[in-house]
Amino acid sequence: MALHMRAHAGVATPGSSRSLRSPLHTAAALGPRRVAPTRGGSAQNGGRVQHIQARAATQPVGASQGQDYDVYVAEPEMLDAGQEKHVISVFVADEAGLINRVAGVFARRGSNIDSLAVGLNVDKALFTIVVTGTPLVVSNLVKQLSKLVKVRYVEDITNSRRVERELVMLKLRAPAGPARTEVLQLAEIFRARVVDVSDGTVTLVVSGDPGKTAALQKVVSKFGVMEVCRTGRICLKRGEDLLESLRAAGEGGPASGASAVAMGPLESREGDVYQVDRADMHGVWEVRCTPPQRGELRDLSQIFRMAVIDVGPTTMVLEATGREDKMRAIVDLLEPYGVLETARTGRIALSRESGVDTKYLESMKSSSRIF
Amino acid sequence: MRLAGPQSAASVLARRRPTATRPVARPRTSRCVTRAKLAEGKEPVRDKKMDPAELKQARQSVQATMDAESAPGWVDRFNGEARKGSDILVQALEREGVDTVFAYPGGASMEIHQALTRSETVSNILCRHEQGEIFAAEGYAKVTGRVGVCIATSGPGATNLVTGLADAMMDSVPLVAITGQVPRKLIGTDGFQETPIVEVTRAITKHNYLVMDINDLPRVIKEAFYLARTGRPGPVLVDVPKDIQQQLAVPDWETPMSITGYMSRLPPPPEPAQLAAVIKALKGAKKPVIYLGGGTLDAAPELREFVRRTGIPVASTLMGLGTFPGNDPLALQMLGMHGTVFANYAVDQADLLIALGVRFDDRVTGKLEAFATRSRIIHIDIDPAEIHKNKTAHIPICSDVRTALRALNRLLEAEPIDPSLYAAWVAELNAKREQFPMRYPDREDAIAPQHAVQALYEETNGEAIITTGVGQHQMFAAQWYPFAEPRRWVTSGGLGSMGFGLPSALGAAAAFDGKAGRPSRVVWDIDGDGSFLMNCQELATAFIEKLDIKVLLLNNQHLGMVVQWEDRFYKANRAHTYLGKRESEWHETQDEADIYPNFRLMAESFGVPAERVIRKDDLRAAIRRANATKGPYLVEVMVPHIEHVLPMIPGGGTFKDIITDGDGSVEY
Repeated sequence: MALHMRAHAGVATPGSSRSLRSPLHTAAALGPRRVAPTRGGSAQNGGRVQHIQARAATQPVGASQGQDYDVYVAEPEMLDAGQEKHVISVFVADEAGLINRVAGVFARRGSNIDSLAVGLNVDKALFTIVVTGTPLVVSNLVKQLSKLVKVRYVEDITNSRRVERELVMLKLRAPAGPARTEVLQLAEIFRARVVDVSDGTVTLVVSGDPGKTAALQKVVSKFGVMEVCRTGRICLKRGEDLLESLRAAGEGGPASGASAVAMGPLESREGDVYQVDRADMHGVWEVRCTPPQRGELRDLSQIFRMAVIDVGPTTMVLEATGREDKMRAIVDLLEPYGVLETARTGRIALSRESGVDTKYLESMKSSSRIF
Repeated sequence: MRLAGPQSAASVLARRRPTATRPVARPRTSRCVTRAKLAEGKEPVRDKKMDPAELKQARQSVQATMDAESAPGWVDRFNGEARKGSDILVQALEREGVDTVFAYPGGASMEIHQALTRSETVSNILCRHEQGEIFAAEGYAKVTGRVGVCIATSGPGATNLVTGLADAMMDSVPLVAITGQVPRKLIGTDGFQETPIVEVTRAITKHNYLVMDINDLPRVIKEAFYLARTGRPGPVLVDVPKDIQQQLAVPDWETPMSITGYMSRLPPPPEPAQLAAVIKALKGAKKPVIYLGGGTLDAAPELREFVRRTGIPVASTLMGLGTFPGNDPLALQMLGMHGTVFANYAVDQADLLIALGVRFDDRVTGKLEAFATRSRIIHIDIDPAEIHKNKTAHIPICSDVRTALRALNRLLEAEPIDPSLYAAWVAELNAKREQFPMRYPDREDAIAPQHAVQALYEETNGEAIITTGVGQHQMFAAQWYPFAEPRRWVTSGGLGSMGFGLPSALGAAAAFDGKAGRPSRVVWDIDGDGSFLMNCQELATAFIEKLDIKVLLLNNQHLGMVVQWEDRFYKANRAHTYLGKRESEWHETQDEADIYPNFRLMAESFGVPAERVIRKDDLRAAIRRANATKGPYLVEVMVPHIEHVLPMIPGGGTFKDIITDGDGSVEY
């Protein structure tokens, strides 16, 4: 999806173009409601951890009166013997339909993608794909991926030191009272943020490595998880290990010659569709940072409520969550330091229970008449 | 790089630039992980090898030179004036050296056909079906080794290419398919004759393009040909909307290709250390055998030299036939499901399997766990994804087979191997060959299909180009028509597409028609009645284009290969495998009027002379008449349907399960 947006200069709206139909888009647009309990569904729902079999249950788990929402139940399930979970990073040149090309390799060789996150940089995109399979199957997949003409570089980073992040939004049934209090306490423990509240519900956003998000989902599932939205995992290697850039050094060419990934301005798009008003993106940046610059970058990260998640001798890895415009501001700000690598998720959205947002309010008349 | 403070992105770029362009000067300690990965296992021979980056640069500079000289002697007919997109397309084909295309017009591709009529060097062969045209392009590519080109219209024209694309993908045939597409503004509106062919063919092409900007056209065609013929060859599809074909533009032929990632991944020549390991393995082996496939077709001289220096017996896959002469004493002929007993015995007993340009297909290996269990495996292939895919190789070499064999031959020249080293092994195989020779029950009352193929072999001195459909006749042709040279054998191996024989013969004949400096060679299509009927409309093409093709049609009124499986594994229950008349079967009545369809009349209606042979004594005379006739000729040979292709290892079986006798008259 993100890939296509560039080609279409931001005019893309869901479904306006054939190649827009990507697993990611499906996840963003349809994901939160209900999840089919089959494994086949997981390839569609871009951001789901395999061992949490989210399932639509008709019976509410928590004690609540009068409401019959579908709730999600987390059921951990062991992988079959010999299977492993692998994280694959794929750098691709930007081209329409590349998500299909990459995803097609997994589909036609009988593997299911556990999660897929795509982020677009100026002339290339980084896919972070989590896939389950035997080492032989996965190594074959990696080789097949690297045969795709527009793929620049593929690496199975399962065994390298890396930072992993995933963002999850959860809408919980938490009516005012002891339940809500407990939810808020739990949120504090997990450093989750409350982003919406209504009479019967609380919406939390949490970002972290997959273990943390899974743990939070597990503890709050007793209240009744009404909607879940995940971005899928994004990963960068720790420290100064880069995924691709030095490899590109021999290739010359103005776009690929330098290892600093210059982040251009992101495409601007029309505001969020009414009622889908929490649209969060999540990104991890690795920037060039000498020791004297660290303080400066830390200040910046505080302003934008970014988290510093790794520091190397000359590098720093930052994590940020937020809307598109915030992301753009961060990118502009970090650019002068030299952005080495970027991993980003797509957008995810849940509707506000209240059904209002800032834009909606802008279009309203003032509350009272003045005579 | 110590930065004192924030810098502009431009200055960061500028500072990194020098290191980017001169990676060789970088100290080894600062290698990134990926570089280290490339260098893995290569350290002991550092003094001899080129730096990977250096190598890459060398390859690219060679490529750049090739690009600059890609169209020697080519003249722009338009003198730099603006021209239609379709003319740019055809000129791009001219620049790639294309002289023959196989194209069938339609609404969305008629502009291209108009432009083709304006070209002096590109001629079209008008097949009568898009499937026929793409099979013809495959036939052309298989006999020449050059890129075959076919053009079709949008929608049904494009979808009719799908089988051929899948076929070319499986058999690694260099092919460029160009399709018309509805105008850009209609894309996505379910317009008339619109199919998203790029989406449809994604999994069955090496790469595909939808051209949305006329300025991309020269580059895309250049890339398409480059992709089709380099590395592991394969089909590339280019979809061109009609309004782009009509748009006027001045092409920039110098636009560089933007597939550096692909180019940098093309395998480099093999490392000396790996080759030394091969030589060491050869010296340690007592029972080596070469298993060669379609990847060796362009390495025949190198392979023959290698065999001459080592004396190792050679088994070939269906796709590799001809690389090594089939009549050589060291040739074990074909291995696999319908391979010879001695070839399969050799692989089963070998202690060293030298796999060259092969992919360990299930028709070769049978049960994977039981295949070549006693041997170490050397696997040389250009596609890294094939190595370790089915069988783990002990000495994997990802390289062009030709380059690797050349290097090996040089090493063998320096330190020769005594060919008598394997004499005992060769003697053992010859004993097996005598114990289980290739044979068939010849009969006087009917023409055995094997006999018909053998007779053709003798009447053509083994020099014809042979094409086939798919089924029993294909296996009989592979077994009984030994080839002296590669690229004389045109068959659908991996995909097994029926109806391949006649159209691919057209393509082969177009490449060997003796006109415009092209060589001349007779082309025979050995076909079955089922396969022939699938693309029999191409008789019209053969007649109209006056192509010199002959058809040896082995008619048994059945789908012979399926019948054989029914006989063996389904108690001879016929499940829609009989193609003749229901009420009176020729095999029972022996009445010529019961043969259906009447291929002789069919051929005559197309203007193609034809005759039917029922008696064994008439066979050779008929083949001679065909050879003596200019233009197309059909020889229909009636053969019994109870004949089985033997030897046979049932699917998923092992060498122990090999079947060497029996036919449809026995109950199993």
